[in-house]
Amino acid sequence: MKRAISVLLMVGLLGYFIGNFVVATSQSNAPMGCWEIYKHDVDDYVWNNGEWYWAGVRGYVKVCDGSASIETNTVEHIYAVSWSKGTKIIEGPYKVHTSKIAYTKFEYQRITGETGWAYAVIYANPVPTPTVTMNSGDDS
Amino acid sequence: MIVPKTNATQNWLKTGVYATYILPEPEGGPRDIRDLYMFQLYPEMLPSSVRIDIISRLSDDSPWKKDGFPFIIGDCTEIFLRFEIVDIQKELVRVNVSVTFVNATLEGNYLEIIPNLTIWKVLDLNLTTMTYFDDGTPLGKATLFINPSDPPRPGKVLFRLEGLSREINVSVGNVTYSAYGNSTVLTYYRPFRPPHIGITTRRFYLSEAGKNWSISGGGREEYTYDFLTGVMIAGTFSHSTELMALGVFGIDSMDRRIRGKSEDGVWPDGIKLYDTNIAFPDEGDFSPPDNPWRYYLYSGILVLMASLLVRWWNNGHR
Repeated sequence: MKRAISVLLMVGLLGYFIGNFVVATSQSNAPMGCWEIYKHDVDDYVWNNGEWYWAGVRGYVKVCDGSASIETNTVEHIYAVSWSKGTKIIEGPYKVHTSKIAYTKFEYQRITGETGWAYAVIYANPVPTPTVTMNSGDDS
Repeated sequence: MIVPKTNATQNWLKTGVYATYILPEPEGGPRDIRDLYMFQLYPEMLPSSVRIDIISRLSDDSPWKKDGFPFIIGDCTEIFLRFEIVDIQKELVRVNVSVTFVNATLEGNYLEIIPNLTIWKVLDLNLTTMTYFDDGTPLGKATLFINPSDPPRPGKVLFRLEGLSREINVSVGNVTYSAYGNSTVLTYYRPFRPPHIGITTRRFYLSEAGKNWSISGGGREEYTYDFLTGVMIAGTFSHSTELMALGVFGIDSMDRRIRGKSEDGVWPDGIKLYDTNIAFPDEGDFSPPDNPWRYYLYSGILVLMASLLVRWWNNGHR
């Protein structure tokens, strides 16, 4: 009787380990965990005289098994300036999207003649947190 | 309107002459992904060694590999552009053109940062037509320097943008000998007093889409040249003949450090002169130009003095 119990216990213990091993190494047929992230970026500004510009880009990023890609059919580009106040877009708008990068970019010109760029961008991959280091900035 | 003399135009053009241009890192370093400069590579035209290196760095799900997107998009913190005259034989000049992307990342892969991604090529330039050739195929007109007495003519094609299914011709729109009017143009190398030669292209558009990608844009390029040499001192330079010849479809052209007016002059948009060994004729010492005509000048002074001496002698030494 004692012997039968100990054999049962040993078989049970062995079964526990083997079972764990099988579960840990088996390739599951169930769908891998995918999830979506909504990403967006905006570059906008309003001046004292009421002139403004607005560049934006947004879309969903799908992450599956560690690899991320932009769902390009969800990407939207937004570009606008205060046309009614005389602000113009003089270059672009560049609207580009691939499964890795999506951006909206244009050069504006204010009624004063001053020019500048508006630029919004999203990446599929997580971008490292920007380091705010103060470079001494070698001016030549 | 003052037009520079023809024979004075290309005296600077000598073997070993170089010029470097820069789009510098913003002050305080890049703080934001928007502070980075972007570039688009067209692998089919890259020099083969660079192409192999770049393709080996792409991930399996790269849009260029997987979706047939024609370009590889990268970003970087600083851009250097350089040309050097390697050889001159009569009408044929060999120019080494290079572009360096500092801290470059390809397709947003921030796990792999390339400290210096340099692409260079030696291009053949025909001085009479100011056209680059690669194995006999014309690539387009030089935009890094021009012949000041014979600049590209309005309406003529400057270069072609390759990579999209429809070929895009970028042609000359406006040529002026008074770019920036009476203002001094500032660069990272030194200020340039007026006048300046300015070339703007006609507006061009590009637009194409494929499965999983889309690209659209366009614009107008603006290049500013030194009046006497025709060497570029600044340019928006998003696209150019030299860049396309290297396999670079486009680069960002906004200087994130400096723009607009200051007391000393105007900071032009885009990439600017940073270093050079070109002796610009308007520089420093005001010595007369070194050419045979100075002997004519000397002989005139000699004859004048001799005749004065003779008259003084004949006049009874009074």
